Amino acid sequence: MADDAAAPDTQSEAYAREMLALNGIVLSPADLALVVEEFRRLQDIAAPLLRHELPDRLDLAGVFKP
Amino acid sequence: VTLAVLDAGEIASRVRARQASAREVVDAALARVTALDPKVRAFSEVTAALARRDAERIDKVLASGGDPGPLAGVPFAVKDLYDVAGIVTRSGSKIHAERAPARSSATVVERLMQAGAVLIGTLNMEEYAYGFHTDNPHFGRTLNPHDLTRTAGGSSGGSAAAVAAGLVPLALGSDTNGSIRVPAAFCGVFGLKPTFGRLSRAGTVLFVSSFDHVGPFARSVADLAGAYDAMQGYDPADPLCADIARSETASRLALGIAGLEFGVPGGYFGDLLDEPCRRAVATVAKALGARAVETPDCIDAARAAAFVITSVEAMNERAHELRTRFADFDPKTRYRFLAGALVPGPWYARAQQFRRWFAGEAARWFANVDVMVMPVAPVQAPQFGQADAIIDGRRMPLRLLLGRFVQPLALLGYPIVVAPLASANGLPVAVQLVGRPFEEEKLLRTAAHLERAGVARAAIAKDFVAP
Repeated sequence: MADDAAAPDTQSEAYAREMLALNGIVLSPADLALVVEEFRRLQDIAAPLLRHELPDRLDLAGVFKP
Repeated sequence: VTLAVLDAGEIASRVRARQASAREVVDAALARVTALDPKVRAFSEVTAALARRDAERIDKVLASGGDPGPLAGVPFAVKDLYDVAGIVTRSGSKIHAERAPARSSATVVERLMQAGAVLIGTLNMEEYAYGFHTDNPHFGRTLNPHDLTRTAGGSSGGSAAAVAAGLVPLALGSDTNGSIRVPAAFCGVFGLKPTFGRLSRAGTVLFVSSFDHVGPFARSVADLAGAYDAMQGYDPADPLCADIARSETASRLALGIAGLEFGVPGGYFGDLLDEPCRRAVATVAKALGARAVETPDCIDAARAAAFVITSVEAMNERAHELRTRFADFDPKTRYRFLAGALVPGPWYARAQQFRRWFAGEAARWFANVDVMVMPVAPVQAPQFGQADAIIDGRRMPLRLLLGRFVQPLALLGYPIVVAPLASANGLPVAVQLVGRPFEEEKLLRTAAHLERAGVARAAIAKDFVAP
């Protein structure tokens, strides 16, 4: 529960502002709102990936090899 | 018939036999571009002086008894993200347009030139290759030669449109999530997305390094194979270029399809596509004797993984420009780029882990099938401004729909040939022929078989046929 409480609300403008600031990007409130909207759309699209069960201990070695 | 509308093989044959000079061919191509490109707006820049100089060099080699290469005198053009020595690589961006001209050409451009092909210009694209329409806010929209009210597809729309309009017999594009395949289908030309790592990307502007491929467009399979063969070969300048032997394909097209196994996957790849696209898959499957194959139940997740990787890496590639020139980005995509900065790290790691796992699933999927027949897009070329399409009674946003069948395959890096077909409504339609890694030859032989059988066909759009 403590972890949940500490987890950022990734759909919030505060989270977006902070993540963009880490990249050196500062936006107007209107632009920030559009980025958040775009990210929410991406979050919906990503849902099947986040729900998909993967085997444990799957490393990334060779990921670029077809 | 003007020399400019001949296929690459025919042009090279005439030039090599000195029945036509490279200079005559290039002059004819440049004249055709001047006359017709304003109708489709495929070209970003026409490099007439460089082209005439290179053509004259080829004619001199021939005159002195030398061999200028298998593509002698063949005009070609490249998407505006390939470096061309002396030309600014704009990547469809007004920011990159301010950069200095490239000092050298991309490896694959150099290789085509070494094979005798003559570059005549660069081609329009979506800004930074992000999108399926080639509706560029800075440099204009490219129109579909088969119907000027419709999109040529993207992001390599200029490349596909230039070939479909008969402005060049060969063009290069790039494919990240479908950017060769969708425009090839919409414009009715052959396209090849080779295996990831097969062709060098050195000297190109990357969009999503995990998925970026370079590849050719042409109106015949022989031309597609000839261009592909000329570009093959390890290149240490591209860290992801595979160090494997070249595999000549053009000379093997006549071998046909004997011994090859064909499959047509159901499930995800049989769902949500309109009637002409469904019929195209059925027609090709029947012509090849393809058998029904089950599709792994994870394609939605594969597409999601491709979206996540694209978002993060696209943001990473353009971070500097987004930091300093945000207002100069295409309003359609600048928020999409920035959304990539919000993706939590574990999502990206999970997407790459999924990619690793999916490679194993796909190996089993393709274990007994050499070539899988799949749709390219769920619909034919949409009209400009069209936001959605109705399929099976469901209204779907085009933004999500267009990448439905191409994007999940981006994760695999498998080779894919797009084979175009005519359709009853006059608009092109196409299928993807998907094969195992580094087995491009089987795909090209299959496409050549379909072409010989009259099933696949890439013709110059009727309003652009030479008088």
